[in-house]
Amino acid sequence: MIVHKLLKRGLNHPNFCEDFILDEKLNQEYSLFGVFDGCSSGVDSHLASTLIAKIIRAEANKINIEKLSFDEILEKITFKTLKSLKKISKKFFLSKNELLSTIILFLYNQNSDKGKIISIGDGFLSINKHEIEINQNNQPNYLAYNIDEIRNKKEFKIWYDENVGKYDVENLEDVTISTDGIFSFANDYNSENYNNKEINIIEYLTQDKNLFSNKAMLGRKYNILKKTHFLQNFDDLGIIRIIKQ
Amino acid sequence: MKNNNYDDLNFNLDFANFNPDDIEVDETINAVFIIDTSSSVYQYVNELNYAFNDFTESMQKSHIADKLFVSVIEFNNKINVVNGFMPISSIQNMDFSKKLGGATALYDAVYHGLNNALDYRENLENSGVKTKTMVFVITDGEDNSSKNSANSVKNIIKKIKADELSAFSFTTILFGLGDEANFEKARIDMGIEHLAKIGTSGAEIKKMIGFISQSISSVSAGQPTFAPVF
Repeated sequence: MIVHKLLKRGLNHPNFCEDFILDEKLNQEYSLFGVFDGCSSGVDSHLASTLIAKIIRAEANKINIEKLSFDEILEKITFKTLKSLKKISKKFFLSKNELLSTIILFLYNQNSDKGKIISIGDGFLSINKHEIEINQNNQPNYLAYNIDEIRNKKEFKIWYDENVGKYDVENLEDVTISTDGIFSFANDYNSENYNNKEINIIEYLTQDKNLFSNKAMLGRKYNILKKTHFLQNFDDLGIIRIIKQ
Repeated sequence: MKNNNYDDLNFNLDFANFNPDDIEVDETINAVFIIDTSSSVYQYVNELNYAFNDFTESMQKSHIADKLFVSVIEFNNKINVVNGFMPISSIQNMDFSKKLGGATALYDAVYHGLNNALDYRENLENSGVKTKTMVFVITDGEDNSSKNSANSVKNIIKKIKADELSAFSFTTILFGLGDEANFEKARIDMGIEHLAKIGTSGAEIKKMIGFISQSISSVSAGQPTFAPVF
């Protein structure tokens, strides 16, 4: 299994990249991957996406995942993250607007070759070449919206079942999780040579196998999009692509 | 003074640069060292060896080692490509005293070094690797035996600087050692951006190599290179 990662600031965001990515091996069997997109109309959203990724990493490592199902593990991680967010927001006087980030998590067991993806907010998935656009019309139900509303596990369970997208993965060949920045590529240079029919960007980044054994595959493909096709992402971009070797 | 032993010189200018397909980063710093090994260099060649090898050792341990590629070219009246662009991790200790002797084909050396740097840069960029190039010319004399003119070097640099995308990611520095030559004229004639005139003592050569290390680290961090002041 090769894990390729890409995190790039978009042209619309001059100061900070508000996306973040997570790649964490939980034990010999399980890996947890995540992409996070801080809300552009939130406050200091680069902090929100990074902080939530760090909380998730900490909580995931605290959970005893033996004998739990994918659903149980992911639900537990999300619940504990919500509780931690609540505590941290109080401790550091953070408002909800400072904690707004989408979350896409992919929990994968390499022994069973199965996994589960959950999404809170929008983004993009490619599961063995099956493309899924998670579109919430830019109005995601961010986890942080609920830090006051959800008071106990029962309320969390109701919210989780209604608001969290769930996708199964079996026989992993080539899986990508991405923030919606992947849809924001456009011509930056107004070059006469530019022709957007030349390349399918989604396919190129998430399915094309060129350079797949090279650790810098996504970074190099990104540079080729810029140099050869005059294309750049206007929104921040976080991609994790896992390919079976 | 060492005798002229050209047995192991590479007159075909076979740079044999590292295969771009095998580069596992999406951005590299390509440093070219164009080093004078004409007869007068014998006075300080030990200090130069020591400083250069110290540079290699420290950069091999640096956090930017993965992205640093180095090419070394020696010149007297002939050009010898010691190595094309290779990862710093594979650069061996140098001994510039082996090939001392002869005249100073400064323009030829810079001309070939620049051309290889440009070719490799284009190859890398076409295969998705962004590149920052730094050319360090170290000499203690003026040109007295080149086939290429200073103007041919100048034209290459002018072309690079005219291209908006490469203008700020391509740096050239001439280090003039000793006080025998008119280095400022050589710099202007070749269109090299920066000049540093330094002595040939061990301490000064060490200072020069220290500046080169710092420049490479700065460029790696996205900062500009400033003219060296010693």
